[in-house]
Amino acid sequence: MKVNMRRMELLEDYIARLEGGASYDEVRRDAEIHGDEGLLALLDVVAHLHTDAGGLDPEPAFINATEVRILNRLKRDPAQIPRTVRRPSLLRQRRWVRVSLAFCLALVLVFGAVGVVDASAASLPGDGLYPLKRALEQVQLGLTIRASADAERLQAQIQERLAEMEQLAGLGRYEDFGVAVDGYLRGMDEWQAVQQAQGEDAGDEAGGLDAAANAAANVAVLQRIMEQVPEQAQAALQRALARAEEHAAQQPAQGAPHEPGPDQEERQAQHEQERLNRQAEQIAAKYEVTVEDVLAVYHDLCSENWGCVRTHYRNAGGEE
Amino acid sequence: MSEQNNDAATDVELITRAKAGEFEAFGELYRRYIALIYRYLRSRVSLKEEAEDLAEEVFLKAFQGLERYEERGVPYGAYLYRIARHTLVDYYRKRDSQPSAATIDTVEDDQSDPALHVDQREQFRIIAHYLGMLPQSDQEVIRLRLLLELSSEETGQWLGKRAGTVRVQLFRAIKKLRALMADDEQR
Repeated sequence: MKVNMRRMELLEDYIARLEGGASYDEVRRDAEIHGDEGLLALLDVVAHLHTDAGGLDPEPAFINATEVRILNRLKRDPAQIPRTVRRPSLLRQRRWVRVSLAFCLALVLVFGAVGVVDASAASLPGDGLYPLKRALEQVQLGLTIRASADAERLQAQIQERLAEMEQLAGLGRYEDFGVAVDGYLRGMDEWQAVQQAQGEDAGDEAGGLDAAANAAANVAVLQRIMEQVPEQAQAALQRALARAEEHAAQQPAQGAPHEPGPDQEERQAQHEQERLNRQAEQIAAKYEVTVEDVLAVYHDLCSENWGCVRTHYRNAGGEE
Repeated sequence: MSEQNNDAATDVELITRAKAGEFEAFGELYRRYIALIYRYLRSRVSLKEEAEDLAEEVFLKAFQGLERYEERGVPYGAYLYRIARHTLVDYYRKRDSQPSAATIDTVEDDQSDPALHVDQREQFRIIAHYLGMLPQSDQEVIRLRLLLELSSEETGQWLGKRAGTVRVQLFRAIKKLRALMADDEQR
């Protein structure tokens, strides 16, 4: 549709005058000078909308009463208040506080505080306990003796990084993706090195089967996360996805079959269920709803899209 | 802080104070934007009471979302507008109704609203009917620019478009609206 610029500018001018308080009759009289019937017809539409818009104003009594009601509600019900206001998190304040806290926690750990270990296991990049979680992973890795145990540990770490990315996506914490992606890439490097050494030593066919299944599963998980996150967060993920795809593409060369066997399918299904539950628990805790609710929204309302679940609860609880 | 100081404070300053737990700062933000947000909601739902409930919900959500709000070129009004749109989506979902259908019904059944004169109500019903027939993006430009009386620049900020694009889209949308009305008049 071609735009008559002159007519558009005149109409804009008339809109501005109407908004400035000029009467419709006055504006229309001026418009009639141009003898442009098309312009007058458009002006009539604008005038209708402008006049009718007056009926959309809120009543002063409503404005005042609602303000009092909202503020009273916020003061009375702490659940309405943002977490930083209600309970400023020491962990988020300063880096040195985090470091000191991590050190103290490490000391407590030495004396057997199993609860802290458990808490750190559920932490995500950006959380205060996350460095502890990663440190513990390294300790566990250092305690293994056999190469196959190393490979298993590293694969578990890779899966953990993927789960973290999925949870971060679910929580909308895209700024922390980089840490999980870096961890994933480093884990892949180490795991592949161990796999290679193992393969050279024994030519393990079962290892090849697992590797192929894992590679395909990793690509699928990353693609699913990629669909859930906004464009700005995709750049970091793209690195992980490219690496996973590259790895998956290498699998046929190793002679590994693509079809997973029944045991592998069961393991994958179990792993998927665990990942699902972890994600649901995170969202449930964040939005103070039950895990069952979250899973119901995930399956019934959101066609198994975590991005949709997140948006649903964010809308219900407040955010863009 | 006094009312006068509040008047001088920018949105960002008020948000910072509200984040620190100063309820009155949020109250000031509320007073700045309630009319715009209410107008928008009122133009999209049938009953005044519904618009009032939704407006209250928008501001409660906005307060809950303060922690996550960062300006980054998105004015607070635009942020509230997004919350309002999401709130409407949830509202329509709960009502199991489509936004466009509700738009067509706008104000039509609102017999309880004494502020609306009968003629005005009828006129708005007609306009709302045609407005609901336009593409969603055209509807939004008309709502923000003509019903909320935002400038082209502000409309652009709220919708994530350039002011020039808003101006052209508005002009075209008005033409489409006029064409729809003219078609019906000729029948």
